[in-house]
Amino acid sequence: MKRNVSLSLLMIGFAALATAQPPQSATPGPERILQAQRNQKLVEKLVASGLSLARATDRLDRAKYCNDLARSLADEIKQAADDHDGDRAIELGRHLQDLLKNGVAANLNKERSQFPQGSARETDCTRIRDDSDRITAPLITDLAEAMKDNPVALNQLLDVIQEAKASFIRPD
Amino acid sequence: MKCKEFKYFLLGCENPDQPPADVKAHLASCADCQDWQNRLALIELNVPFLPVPESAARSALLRRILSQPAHVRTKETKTALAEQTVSGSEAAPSEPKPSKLISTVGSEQRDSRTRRGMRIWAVIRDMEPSARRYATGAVAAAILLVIFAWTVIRTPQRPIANIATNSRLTSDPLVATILQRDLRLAEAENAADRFRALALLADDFSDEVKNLAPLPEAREVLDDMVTKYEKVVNGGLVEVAKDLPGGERVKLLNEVGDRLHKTGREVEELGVKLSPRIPKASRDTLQRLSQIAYDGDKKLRDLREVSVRRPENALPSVSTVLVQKERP
Repeated sequence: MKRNVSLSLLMIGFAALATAQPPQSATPGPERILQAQRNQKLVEKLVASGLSLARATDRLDRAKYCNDLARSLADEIKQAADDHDGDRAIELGRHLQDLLKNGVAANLNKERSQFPQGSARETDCTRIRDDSDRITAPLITDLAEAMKDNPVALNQLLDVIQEAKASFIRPD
Repeated sequence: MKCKEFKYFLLGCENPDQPPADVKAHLASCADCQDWQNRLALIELNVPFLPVPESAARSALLRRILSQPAHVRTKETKTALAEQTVSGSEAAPSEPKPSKLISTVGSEQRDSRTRRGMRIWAVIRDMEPSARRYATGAVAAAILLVIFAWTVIRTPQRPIANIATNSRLTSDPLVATILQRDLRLAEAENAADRFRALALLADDFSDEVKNLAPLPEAREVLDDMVTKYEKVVNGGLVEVAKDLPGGERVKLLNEVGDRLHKTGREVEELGVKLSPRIPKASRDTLQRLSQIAYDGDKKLRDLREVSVRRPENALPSVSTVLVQKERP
């Protein structure tokens, strides 16, 4: 009996030792280099957009810069779809959704709430929103063709894009 | 040996990134061969991702194996093996039958494992009852240890960035993090928020450089990351710092300046620590990042002094903070 208890305690000790190891600061593998090389241009665009956004004090300017970045992301999504890389297309689609929702729509909606309907500012907001539509509409059409062999990924991607579109408040 | 011979040797190496000691010694002193080695390592790295032409050979082979009854496969293969053993290397079988060989080897290994397991069990069974308990316990402990070891080995490592994403090749944590910084900049309503977001963006790049630095083949990627870091520090951080409002200006400049200085020191130390293992180009890149960070810190300190000279910022506490934060 005593031996069984000792054995159990030993096992628990081993288990604790195995699980209590602090997470190692793992050096990424060589695949991280491939990933970084693959996304070099995209990261460059993200940095350039970040610097433009940092200089922009006006909300509409910031919304425009987000639209520029959204255009680059849409191109990357299209490329991923052409390469039959559904996972990447979905990942980038989620980034596009974030950008349109929290970058473009959030700024436009805030700006709209401060100006009366029919004002020049309101017209500017509509123009920027239409720009966003011009990015997503052709993407939806292109994806339907490029990803027809991967309907699951296509549906996920179309869902995120539609959700991003829905975040824009449309004036009555 | 001359450089040319070293290069030929590396070409024939199975792992060009892990050459023997004498080759390593040469590589440490020869930048040209180092470049050659890095290029080779990069090629090795990319080979598994090359597309291969479609082939029906695998499925045909599997069909051949599966179409034969198991006992026939084993018997025929044993015969083939026996023939090979008897005739040695001079008499190759008239028709190679790899499927049968694989099947036989597999089943023999399975048989051998089963027999071994039975033998261990028989030994335990024949023991004295007390010894049997010890032996059973030892076997159980060994099994548990193997399970623990397997669990520890299989535990996924923490991703390099703070964002919880999986480590698939498609999912790039750096892209996700930078996008979040951009969104923060898009939402920022004042210079202080923009300054903080840019400081985080700079940290993202320096962290990534620190993570990738130990990989010798990361040389070009590191260089690119440091260029981006420079853009963020000089083109963003220092520029936005000029617009910081009076109230928190000095506090923010101190805070971010300290971070830049810390980054500079850490990267400098990392470069020294890794110097025997990484190419000279990577060491130079780390040194460059370190210098950018130190210069950024200095520029922010200069701006802080300007803020002190401004009448609207001439608060009594400002000069105190300056004295405390001045570096030797």
